[in-house]
Amino acid sequence: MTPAGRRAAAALRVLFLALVAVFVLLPLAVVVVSSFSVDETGGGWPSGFTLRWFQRALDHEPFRVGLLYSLEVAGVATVISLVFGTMAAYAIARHRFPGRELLRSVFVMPLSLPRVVAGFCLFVLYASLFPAAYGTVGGIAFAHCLLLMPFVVAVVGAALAGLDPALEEAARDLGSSAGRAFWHVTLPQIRWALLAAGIFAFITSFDEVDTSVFLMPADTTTLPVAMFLRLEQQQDPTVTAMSSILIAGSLLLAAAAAVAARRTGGALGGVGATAGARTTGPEGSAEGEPTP
Amino acid sequence: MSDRAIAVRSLSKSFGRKDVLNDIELTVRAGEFFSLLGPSGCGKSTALRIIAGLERPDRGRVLLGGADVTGTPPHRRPTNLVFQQGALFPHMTVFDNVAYGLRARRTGRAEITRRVAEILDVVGMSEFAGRAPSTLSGGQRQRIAIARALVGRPDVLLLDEPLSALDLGLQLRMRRELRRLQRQTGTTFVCVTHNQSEAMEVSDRIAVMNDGRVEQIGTAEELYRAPVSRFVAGFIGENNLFDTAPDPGSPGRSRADGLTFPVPGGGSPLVAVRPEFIRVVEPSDEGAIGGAVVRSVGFLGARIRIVLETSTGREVLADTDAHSSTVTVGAAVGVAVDPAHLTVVPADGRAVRSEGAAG
Amino acid sequence: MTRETPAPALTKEGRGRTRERRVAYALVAPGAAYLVLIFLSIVLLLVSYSFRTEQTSRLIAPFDTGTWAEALSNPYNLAVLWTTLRVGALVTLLTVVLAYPIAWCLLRVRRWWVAGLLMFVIFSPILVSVVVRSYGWMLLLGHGGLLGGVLRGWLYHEPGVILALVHVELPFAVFPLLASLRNLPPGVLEAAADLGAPPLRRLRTVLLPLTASGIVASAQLVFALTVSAFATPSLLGGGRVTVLAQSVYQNIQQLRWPLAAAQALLLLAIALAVLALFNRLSRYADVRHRSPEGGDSR
Repeated sequence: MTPAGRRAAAALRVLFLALVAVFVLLPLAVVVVSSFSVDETGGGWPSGFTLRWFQRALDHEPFRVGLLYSLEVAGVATVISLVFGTMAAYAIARHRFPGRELLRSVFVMPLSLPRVVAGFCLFVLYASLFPAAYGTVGGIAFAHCLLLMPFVVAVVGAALAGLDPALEEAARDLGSSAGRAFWHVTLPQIRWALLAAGIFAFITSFDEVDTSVFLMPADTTTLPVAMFLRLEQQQDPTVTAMSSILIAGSLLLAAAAAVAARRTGGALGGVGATAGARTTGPEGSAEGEPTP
Repeated sequence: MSDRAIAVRSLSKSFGRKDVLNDIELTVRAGEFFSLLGPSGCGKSTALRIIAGLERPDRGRVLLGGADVTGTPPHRRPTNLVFQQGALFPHMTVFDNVAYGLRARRTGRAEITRRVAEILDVVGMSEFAGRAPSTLSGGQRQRIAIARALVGRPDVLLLDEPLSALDLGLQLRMRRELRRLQRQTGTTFVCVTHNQSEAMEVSDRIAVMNDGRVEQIGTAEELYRAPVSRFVAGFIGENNLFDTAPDPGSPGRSRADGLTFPVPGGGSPLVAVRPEFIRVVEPSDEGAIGGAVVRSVGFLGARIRIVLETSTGREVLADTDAHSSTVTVGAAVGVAVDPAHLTVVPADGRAVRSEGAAG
Repeated sequence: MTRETPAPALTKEGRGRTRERRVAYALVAPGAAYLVLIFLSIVLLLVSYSFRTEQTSRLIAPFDTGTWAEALSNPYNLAVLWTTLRVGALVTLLTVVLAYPIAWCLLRVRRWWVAGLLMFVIFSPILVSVVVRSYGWMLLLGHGGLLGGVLRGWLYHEPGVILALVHVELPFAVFPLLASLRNLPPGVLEAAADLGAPPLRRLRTVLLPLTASGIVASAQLVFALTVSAFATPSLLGGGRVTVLAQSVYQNIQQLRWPLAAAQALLLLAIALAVLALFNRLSRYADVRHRSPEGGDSR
């Protein structure tokens, strides 16, 4: 190809990617802009700006309760799935035992389970056997672990696979018990993977609708469910303001996770890896530099 | 400590269906440099890891200083291991790496500082205490790995292919270094290697392993001069091996590949002759045990390597003094062997169970 | 050490291994027990509920195939099933066709910070709530919205649902394609060009076959996520477009748990069938292109 042709091709690629970026960002941008708009119906260019909707969103009882509710659920679910997911990932990565391969696939299986099915199933489970769990932080966090666990096992498992098992053996050989060796040697090296997995798990749980919607009464719900239920009725500037807050929070955490991902060599890759765990493996880092 | 630093008794281990160790017997004396030598996959590393406590045997016992430690976890054993690639903790400085074992054993702070400084001095790495392992060269990393394992003053230092990751020149220097460290500290060293010249240079005694078994235990010289099995005869140094059959014409002689060997007792033994003990003579020489044709002549410095081919097409290696040889390629020559340097390898060389047999 | 296992003949036989296994099982036990409980309850509860007709939360009820008959023959339920599959197929097709050039171009961005920024732009929406993203499309397509004029009538109809779903699933489609394009053996495209193949022929004969496994993975992921999507079709469909996931939810609201159970099982069956189908496809794709995977290199 001639240099001019090559430059033209490069320009076309940039133009295409710019259009894609607009497509990806437009729905988010319109939410953010509308949340500052004085107009009751958003979506167009605002005729004036105000912070009124933010005030109103934070005063709106279901949103305030829902925000706290969501934070509690996400916190509990993240901690549980990090602890048990890391334990399982460690056993699968480091121990030889019969049924290991089977367990490896058991832990990614929930990815193939439609969230609505999981929600309905847990709803029936609670309704038939544990009525007390319905609509509680514990009951919803318990359900969310189903979505978070495969993710933690995949990301932490990938980090452990990249670690030389001799390091932990060296620590044990030098006088540390197996537990202390894990704590002193393995944990510090997978901390970025744990952080990335934790952030993604937290956001996933915090944003969850499809499963959660089955597990709580419509009057007290987590924040995204409250927003969903309200949007089913009507469009509303307070939802717009709340959405802006969520976008800001998500992007902040996404940036943090991207930094953590860089340290581990690709935890955003881990997102895709989890999502695509049953097909392609975690190959390379989504945040890495492009190969020329 | 008893005179026996390590005793390994009828040790067996398998991974899945593969038998990695098959009824191993070893005794390592206190203060000696002992090597486990064998090709990759012969089970030598597994044996070392079992002694360290990192693997558990399926059967058999490990005794350290007379005490049975078979069920003892690695952190309660008086052994320390130098890993193949060093296995330095990448998130700790050199000092913290070396101090790790002392801290794990709750040594006092002042004592840690003193002993780390001391051992870093011994391995010549004092000025690197504050560095991160990733900034060190391969040889430096290995020195730190050795220092980390030695600082706790283990009864036995175990080394798993400690030099294999280094380039050749560095390997040669580190061999002398290892030997010096062993003498200086008086620690029992058990070193796993697949490199026979390394094992022969540094070790007091060597156990040759093959296919999960110990073939022979002895000094380098014993292994070289009196191999007890076909494997050892072929693995240690270069050798010409002949599967002989009795010579029907003359009792007390056996034949193979057109050559006739004086074998006391006759029969069909495996006969081994080192290249340096094969002489190239005139075809008519009365000491000749057969004829051959010179295929190639290579100059090796002090010696000349002559490749001969017997009438059956068998290659025979012969080394001669570079200053006295005048063979030409294609010439028909006679092959002569000094009967004193002809080794008859026992038919069942594997049955080296008793320690006294070789050591 | 720990408890002595009775092994009379060979006292030391396999003791180490048994202990290691015990530790490993103890570590995986909580997570595995949890997953097994959920899987079991899916099989037992959902199946049990789908074979009854009366609304009850008791575990035991008379066996009845009436619910299944309704789920599979009632025209409305069949329409829901058909909509689910149609939307799934269209979204998958559109998303993969859009994602392929995106992945291709992303790998050709020279400046690392531009590439990093674009990656962030494309992947970070995964972290923004689906409700928020769908709401963004409601605003855009709504009356007075930025696109409300051009795309009139898309909101609360199938095109709007499809558009929003493409937006939601796009990052998931890009990821496997990026991985697959990165694994392309270096030089093959230059070699094809050198041998005289024009661009379209290079695409058809070299690029697509060599990245077939990535395309299959991408399509599998998007289809699986789309057929089970709930919030986006609910919000952008506005009650006029109903897919299986919504129907399950609505049937619970209307206290028709048995029908919800049957439809949940249908949804699960579609998800698993898609998984199996695409796994088979990817095996076929892999025959033509075995990507060199190292396995664990210990």
